[in-house]
Amino acid sequence: MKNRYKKLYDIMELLEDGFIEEALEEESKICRFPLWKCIVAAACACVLVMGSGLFLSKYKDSKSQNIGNGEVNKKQDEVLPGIKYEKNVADKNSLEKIVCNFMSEGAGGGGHGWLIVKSFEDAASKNPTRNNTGGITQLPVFKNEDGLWSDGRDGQDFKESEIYFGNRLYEEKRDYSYDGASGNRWGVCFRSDKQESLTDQLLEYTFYRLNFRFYGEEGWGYDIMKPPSGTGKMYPVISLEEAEKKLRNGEFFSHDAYAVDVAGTAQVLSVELEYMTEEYQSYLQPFYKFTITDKSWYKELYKIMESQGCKTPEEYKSVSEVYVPAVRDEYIDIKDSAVLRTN
Amino acid sequence: MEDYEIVNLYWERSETAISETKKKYGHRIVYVIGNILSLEQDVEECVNDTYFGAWNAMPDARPGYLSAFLCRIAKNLALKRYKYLVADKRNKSLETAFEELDGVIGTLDIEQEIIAKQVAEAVNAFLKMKKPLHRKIFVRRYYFCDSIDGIAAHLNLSKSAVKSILFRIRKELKKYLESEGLM
Repeated sequence: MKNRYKKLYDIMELLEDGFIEEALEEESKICRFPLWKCIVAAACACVLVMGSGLFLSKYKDSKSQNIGNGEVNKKQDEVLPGIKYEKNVADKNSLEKIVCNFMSEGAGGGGHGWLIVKSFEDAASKNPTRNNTGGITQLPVFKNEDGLWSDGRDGQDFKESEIYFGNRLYEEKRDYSYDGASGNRWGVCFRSDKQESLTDQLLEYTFYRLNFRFYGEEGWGYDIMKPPSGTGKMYPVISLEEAEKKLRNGEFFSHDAYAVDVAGTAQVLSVELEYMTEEYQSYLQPFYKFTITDKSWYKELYKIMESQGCKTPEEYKSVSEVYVPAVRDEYIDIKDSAVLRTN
Repeated sequence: MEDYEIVNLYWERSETAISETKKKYGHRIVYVIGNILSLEQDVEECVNDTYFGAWNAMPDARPGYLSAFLCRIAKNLALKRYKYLVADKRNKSLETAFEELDGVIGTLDIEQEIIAKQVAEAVNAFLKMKKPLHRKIFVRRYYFCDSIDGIAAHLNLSKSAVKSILFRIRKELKKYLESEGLM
């Protein structure tokens, strides 16, 4: 431990016993909402997957929607704030530097990637730029605003929600625990219009979305993204080739502190442009996200999985996601870690 | 078995004290150590050392919260081993958690023990005012150094919700410490 953390450690050691006990209390496995709501929720999720579901409206004065038969008012998403951004880089010499920060989750224990999947597709997104980043030379950067994400809504019916997307896609990812038996699922519903430019599609994927989470058989909840209200400033971005070079040099952020160990050898499974949308970030800006795996991970992974009772570890694969800042170096001020936004 | 009965077993030097502790709090001890150490062998050895530490500490200690008492022993032992192993960069989650908090408390001049105590008291007072869920997330992250993933999974929350809550708590804590004249 670094010496400068010693004092923090000393302070945390003086936390009251009651707080420590409380934090360790077992969470009851109660359903967060009644069974009938779970059934409605599951049905709604199915409807979403089939592309005939619907969503929300804070804008209660707009026409009513009928969840039962899928009738919706497609004008509803017109009342959502539009995403405004400059169409071109104004003047490269006058662009101000933006802070680029990233808070690692401290995931991964070394020796393998931070997600365990059965198929690489388990970690695949429906990002419109997935393996399709070519031709993008500039992207807008937005100042972060308070309240980027709404508080989570658990079991709340879509009817009571706040946004409706006329054209939408649904993405689901999953991973597995060491025992191979349990895991997590994450769903995203986002507005999608293939007729738009790739940049606009990426912005819709980023900012017009609901993030779902599932609690096993017990229920689900979702968070709603609030699109930025300010005008995005256009910045030049590096090419995919330049991003790959940075990847190989280990010049990236990752939640897995050990991904850098395999920078030179990792197999790239996919690459996409992705905006990081965390509250702590000063600016919402694009990154090249590489999903990687490495042969060297499997021996350690299988050993750990076997020790945790998994009978068929060879059925699983290990991946990590690493992020290379997309805005050109001269316009970003990289902070190793983020604690509080500086703006 | 109730905590006081287990504590009595330690005082009576009964070896069943350890098996009862293991039965009741074994998984919590593994959780605490597992957040700091990664390798199974290290965790296992540290867990055994924790039982041994409890055996040595009682008597004289008669803890009011047995679980918290054991967790403190476990955490200290795990940190000692972590320091020994750090050259092998086994687990960075610990430093990651402290890095986050560093911007809030780390800027304070808390070299002196008395100031550290004042800050700790203020943190305790601040946490008392928070919702239990927010408090749990804070303690799990900054006392137990649990990962965002781990907290989200345990508390049935999304990772983004956990990160948002932590971000807001840190911001509020900074304001609170300022209002208390500690910053």
